[in-house]
Amino acid sequence: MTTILVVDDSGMDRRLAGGLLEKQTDWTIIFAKDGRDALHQIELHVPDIVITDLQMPNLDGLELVEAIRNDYPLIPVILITAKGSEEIAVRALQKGAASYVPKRRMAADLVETVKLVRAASYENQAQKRLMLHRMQTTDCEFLLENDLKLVPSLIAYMQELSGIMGICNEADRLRIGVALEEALINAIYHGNLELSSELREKTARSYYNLAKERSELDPYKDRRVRFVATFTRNEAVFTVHDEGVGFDPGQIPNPTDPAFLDRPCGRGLLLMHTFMDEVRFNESGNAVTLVKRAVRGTGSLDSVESVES
Amino acid sequence: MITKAFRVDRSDEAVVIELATGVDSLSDTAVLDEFAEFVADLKHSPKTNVVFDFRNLPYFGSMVLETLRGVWNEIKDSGGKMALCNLSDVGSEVLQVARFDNIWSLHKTRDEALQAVSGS
Repeated sequence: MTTILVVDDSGMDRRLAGGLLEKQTDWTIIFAKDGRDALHQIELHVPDIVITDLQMPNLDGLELVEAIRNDYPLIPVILITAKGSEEIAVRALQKGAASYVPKRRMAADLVETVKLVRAASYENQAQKRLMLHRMQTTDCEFLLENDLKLVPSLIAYMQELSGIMGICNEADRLRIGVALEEALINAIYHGNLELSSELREKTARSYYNLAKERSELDPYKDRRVRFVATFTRNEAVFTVHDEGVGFDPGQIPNPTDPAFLDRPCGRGLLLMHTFMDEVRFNESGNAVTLVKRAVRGTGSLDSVESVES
Repeated sequence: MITKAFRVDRSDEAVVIELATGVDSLSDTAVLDEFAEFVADLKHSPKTNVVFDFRNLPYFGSMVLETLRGVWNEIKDSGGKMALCNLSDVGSEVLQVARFDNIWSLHKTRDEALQAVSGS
């Protein structure tokens, strides 16, 4: 039996969607009149799929997608889009909505879209259920060239693993992103390519030009960043090791001191310390270890358990 | 003007810059050229207000902060104002930690940010 929650502030549109879906005998359809009501309904009975309108009072479709992504990551969401809601639909898809059906195509496409999403999510859910609660530890190691383009993909993968291991909620997922971005940029630019913040103070252009130049010159070009991550159910430990000469973190001025507010120095280090539970450097200053400990009771983990039960 | 990294819209009240992607694009030569051209325009304008819209950038770090600071340095002397909008909670935290929320105002929507810089 598949339970589908239909969310729409228009009673007529709810009836239309419900009428189409109820023709499938093994589907149970429940309804909510806006995003807030939908979250209440989900608490009472976790559905297999949510179908939602985008423009609604109280909590709109975009906010509902975010809330479901955060608290019930295994539930796929299908958007019903109307003329004029294209931009918000794109944002909802970026936030994790599974698919969409234009309102004018509901009669032709809704049932088929639900079937496709249901089939895709079944395998995905089975795999996620295995990993979300049964995987106890995982390690990975990457050796990176001095190429900034690799950084977002690596961070996205680390954020995904942090979620799977129950380390963080959505906000902490972003905080991990900020801290890792700083550590990796430091390792590439300040570590391996030995670029100073003072140069960036003059012009960004000369800073990045020198980075490009050095990435093809000895001794910089062969230097790599070694990135090691270890996840347990309790914490994620990331180590970023460059092959530069290192530095003394104690010598970095406090960037929030009004005297330094206008200078680019030390802000990355401050963000790492703010967003991770622990930050420590090795003696030579060319390796940093960042630790994020699991937050229990506020993140996706508890809600995911409720989906399983 | 549209690149992979940012998009610029001009209105009567302000120039709105929508950052589209993360740090990987900010070091691209083409993007740097385009951004340098944009900043040079600001430098030669009498008084320009700027709004940065973060709707597509849920998190960012010091590289983006430096980009903001670079723009601010070009407009502040001529009396231009700068405001930021559509920040995620973590984006707001980044600005607060760096104390930049003391310099630029943070707003929920683009309209609110435009109102703030136009002084209405």
